[in-house]
Amino acid sequence: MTQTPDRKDMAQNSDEMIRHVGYDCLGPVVHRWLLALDQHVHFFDKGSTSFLYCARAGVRIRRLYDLYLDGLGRQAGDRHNMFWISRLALCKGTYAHNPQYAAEIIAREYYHQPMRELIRGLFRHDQTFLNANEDLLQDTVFDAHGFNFPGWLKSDHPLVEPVDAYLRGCSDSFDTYLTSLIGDSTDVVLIDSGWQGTSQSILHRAFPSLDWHGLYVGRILTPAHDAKIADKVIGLLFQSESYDPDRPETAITLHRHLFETLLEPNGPSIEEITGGPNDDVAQDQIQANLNERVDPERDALFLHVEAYLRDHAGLGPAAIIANHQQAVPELARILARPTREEALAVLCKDRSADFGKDLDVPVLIEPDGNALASDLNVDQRIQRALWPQGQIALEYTGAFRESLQNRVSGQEDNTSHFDPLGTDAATQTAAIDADLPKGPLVAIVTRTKNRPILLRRAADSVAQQTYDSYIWVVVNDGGDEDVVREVIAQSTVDRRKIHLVSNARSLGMEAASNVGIRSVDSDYIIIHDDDDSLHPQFLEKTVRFLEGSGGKRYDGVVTGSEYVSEEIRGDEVIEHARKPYMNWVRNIHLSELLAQNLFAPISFLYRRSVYDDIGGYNEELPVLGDWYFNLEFVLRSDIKVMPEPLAYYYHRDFGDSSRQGIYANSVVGGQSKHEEFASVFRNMFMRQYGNSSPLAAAAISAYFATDIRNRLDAVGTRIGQLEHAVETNTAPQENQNRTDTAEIDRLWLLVHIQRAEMNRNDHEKQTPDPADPNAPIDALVQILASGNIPVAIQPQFDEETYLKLNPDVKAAVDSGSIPSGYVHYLTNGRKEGRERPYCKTP
Amino acid sequence: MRDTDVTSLHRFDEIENLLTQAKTGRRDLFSDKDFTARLADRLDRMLDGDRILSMDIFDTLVLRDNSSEITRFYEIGGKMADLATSHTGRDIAQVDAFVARHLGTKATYRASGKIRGCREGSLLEIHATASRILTGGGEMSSPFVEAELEYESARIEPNPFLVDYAARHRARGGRVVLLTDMYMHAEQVTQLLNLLGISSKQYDFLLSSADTKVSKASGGIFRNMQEEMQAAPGEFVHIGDSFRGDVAQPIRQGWQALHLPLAQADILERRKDHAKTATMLRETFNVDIDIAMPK
Repeated sequence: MTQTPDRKDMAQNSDEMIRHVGYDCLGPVVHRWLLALDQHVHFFDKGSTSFLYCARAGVRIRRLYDLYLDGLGRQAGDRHNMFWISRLALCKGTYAHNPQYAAEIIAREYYHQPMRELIRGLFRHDQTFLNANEDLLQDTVFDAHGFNFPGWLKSDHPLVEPVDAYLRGCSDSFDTYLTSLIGDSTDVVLIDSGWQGTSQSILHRAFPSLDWHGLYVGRILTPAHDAKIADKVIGLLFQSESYDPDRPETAITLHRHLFETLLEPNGPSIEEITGGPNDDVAQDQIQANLNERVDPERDALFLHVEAYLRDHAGLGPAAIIANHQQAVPELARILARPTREEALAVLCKDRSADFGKDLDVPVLIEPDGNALASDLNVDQRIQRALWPQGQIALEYTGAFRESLQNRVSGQEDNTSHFDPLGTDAATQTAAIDADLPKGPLVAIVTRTKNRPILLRRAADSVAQQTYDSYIWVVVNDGGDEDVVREVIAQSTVDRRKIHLVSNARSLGMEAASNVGIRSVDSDYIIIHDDDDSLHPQFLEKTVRFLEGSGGKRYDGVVTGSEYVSEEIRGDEVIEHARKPYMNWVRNIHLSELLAQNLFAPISFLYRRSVYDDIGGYNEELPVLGDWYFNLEFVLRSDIKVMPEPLAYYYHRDFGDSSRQGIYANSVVGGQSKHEEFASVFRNMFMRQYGNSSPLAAAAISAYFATDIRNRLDAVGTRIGQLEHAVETNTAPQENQNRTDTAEIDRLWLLVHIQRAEMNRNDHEKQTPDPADPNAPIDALVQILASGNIPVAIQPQFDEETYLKLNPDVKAAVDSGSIPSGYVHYLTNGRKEGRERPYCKTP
Repeated sequence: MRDTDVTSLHRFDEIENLLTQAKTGRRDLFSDKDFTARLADRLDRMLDGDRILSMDIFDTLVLRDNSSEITRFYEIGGKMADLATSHTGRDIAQVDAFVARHLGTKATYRASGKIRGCREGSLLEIHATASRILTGGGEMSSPFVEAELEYESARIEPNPFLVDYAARHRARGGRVVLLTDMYMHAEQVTQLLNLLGISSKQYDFLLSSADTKVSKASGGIFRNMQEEMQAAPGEFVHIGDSFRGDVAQPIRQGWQALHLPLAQADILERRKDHAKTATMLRETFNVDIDIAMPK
């Protein structure tokens, strides 16, 4: 059992601090919560509604609520009752209605503990049973982990029957107990501390004919929550899974144990059912809670809260809310970034475990405290503590403490920590500003030509954008204008945001983009073609980034994309597959971009100013114009990559629509054009920007780096195949083998020549005269002969055998007149018909 | 950019833009002959003689003044406070009544029952809760509702053009229905319209999301109206000021729709009014109430 920091330490240090936390901060927040509780009690009260205060927190909740009502001269009615249960008792009590679910909830609590401990937990208060069955409990079956419990209950182990009988006995009693509380009422409201309605879910599943609602301090849903009832799980102060500084009450998510311990009476968990098999134990547990002794030290915060409520009894709702709004930011600050003194003041008592377990769970671990503390290092103590921010306050001081607390609270990360531009502090005041807020304007430019099916999808993509400061510019490039008008008329895009630019004849893709962009003024641009689409938050996230401090150094942002394979059949679009597109791209390097286009146009939002500086898309290019533009962009500015996939890049690469006709992609259907214009593109780019020789060198290096990479990949693949043939003694067909090895040799030689050229260019800074990648081997041999280009021996060439078979060559190698037998083979041996010996890979 | 031989530029927002840019607000525009002629012409073409004219009510069939919700609710709070003080003998502050109404609103919008997955607020629930918060019992619920209706009737007036156009449409055999996303139930809205001189004989049916729970904003209410009128989606033309509820959602359901947006000038007036009341609440009572700024 762990030990919390010394109480004397707490008392000496911070009576005033405790009073400040309890009275000044918690008091108004609890008062606000009670107002909300009252508000919802009134809302749900139909005259027969039952209100059940769930033990144990319900004991103190009822005490506080009665105090609140007393201040108004009122009382809770007779349909307000204590509900003497715990989650364990509920599992026992609802077992007969839903054995599987009840067993699963119990199993969850003992997931990785031996089932033996689970059984002992169930029967914690029936020592007679445990003693009588201790031998059976030693069976190895109970070594299995607790998650096996539901399955075990279906086995024929001798203990199953008494366990099942006990649980069913509990259930019978529970039914009677529940009826005694709610009578004929079908509307039941549970009142508890928090946080995701597990007990409510158990009751809802066991008694579905009753309408269950829950009123909690807050709602924090974990992945394990019951989605079917989540709407009826009402967080009175907040509903959030994490801390949002704009909503300070959500800071409670950082230390929900504060409210759990505040509201936990000094009495045991109610683990037996009223009227059940161990009713006497149940009654003892109930009485212990009803008669709890509120400890002046351990419950100091609770007592201060009560004092606050008494002093502010009868306050009207407006003042309650006002006081809460004043106090909650300070409470949030204390929970998120406490000092040591504040952390100790917030600390009251450890959290007790339930579900039949007998231990306290440390909220904080004093670093110099005890055996546990000394067994753990700092990081481990921070991880183990229920309140990490408080633990950090015990470990560190000053700015480092705050920074670490911010990180743990999710308010700071490595990027913002090290970014010299920094992130803007949340210092915006809640100004009441009548002026209509306007975000920067985005021009969404959609080129289209007789593709209404796809244009409709694009229209939906635009209409669903959560960011609403945009103009949708539809450029009809030579298609039927009426078709476009009809799609617009049926779209759900605000008509005030639609411009149609209609070209009587097609101007080409890039000219169409330009005419669309130039028809509007905007701050940002995105080319959203008619066959692509965006995630609804694309604009919101990209604009927010570029407008924020982190975006200052960039003029464009590219998000992750998905490549979507589809087919058009008649009027139907059929999706076949979806996969990440270029998701390895994490940065946009100029050299990489020169080698290949790194992103799809649909994923790219950029500042208008750069477009203006470039002068527009290159209208001479029928394809690849976006790539050209991207290169020109990166010559001027940087593009940020946001990996989250927010753009969808569609390709009709299935069926008839893939290659021809209006629905063909330029990338897929226009494949031959891409191939044709790839070299035109590069030459054009080099001519336009080649005066700056480092750039030209980079262009070529990058291009050939890709080319070499691709070719080496092909060589590697082929070598692997050949190796396999050698290893398995598979005799390849002679002609095939000869062709393959000839190509291997050609590529091998090409790689060496190009590498030598690149090295020379780096040193000599000359405009390169690159070897043609498609040059035949004889031409490459001539280059080899004309320069001093080292060529390594190709690994599958058996140098030793070649020299043995050709003693003249060996003599030349030995004398140094030729570097290797392999070079001789390339330059002379091939033509002379000398055998090329082939060796296995070592 | 201008039209050229090859390229022409087009917009689709003639009516919408005129309303949005109306310098003195929409109210004047609905009395402007030129504008109303254009609007009538547009509606005639859309209705094509026999389609059903469906109208949003608040800020469409009836025009609100440019007070903001927060101001109206605060003033309603004053009426509630007077009534509650008379009833209880205790001095109940206007701001507390306003907050009690607000808490009732939050509760009904958060926790009332759902239909087809949708939820809407209810004026009856709002005031039932407010009454209990202020007095401990529900006896002030009905007087609060009546006070609110009376107050609202003084803040709105009929849209002269649309009342007249609806009458002409019915006279030529067309049908007229009313749809509203409102916490007021149909019965209360009908009562309010009667007070304005728009009797239930002037339209064929009225649906309020307070009754249906499904709404224009969620899209579900349009099916309810189709069933009531036994008509197909293509037979309806809906008009209203909310883009989402009066344009996007009906279009999704297969209706035709025409957006009659608020003027920027009106929105700005309402925002200024909101700011004024919000500032007063903050400075006088130190309280910020989460009622959204008009937009």
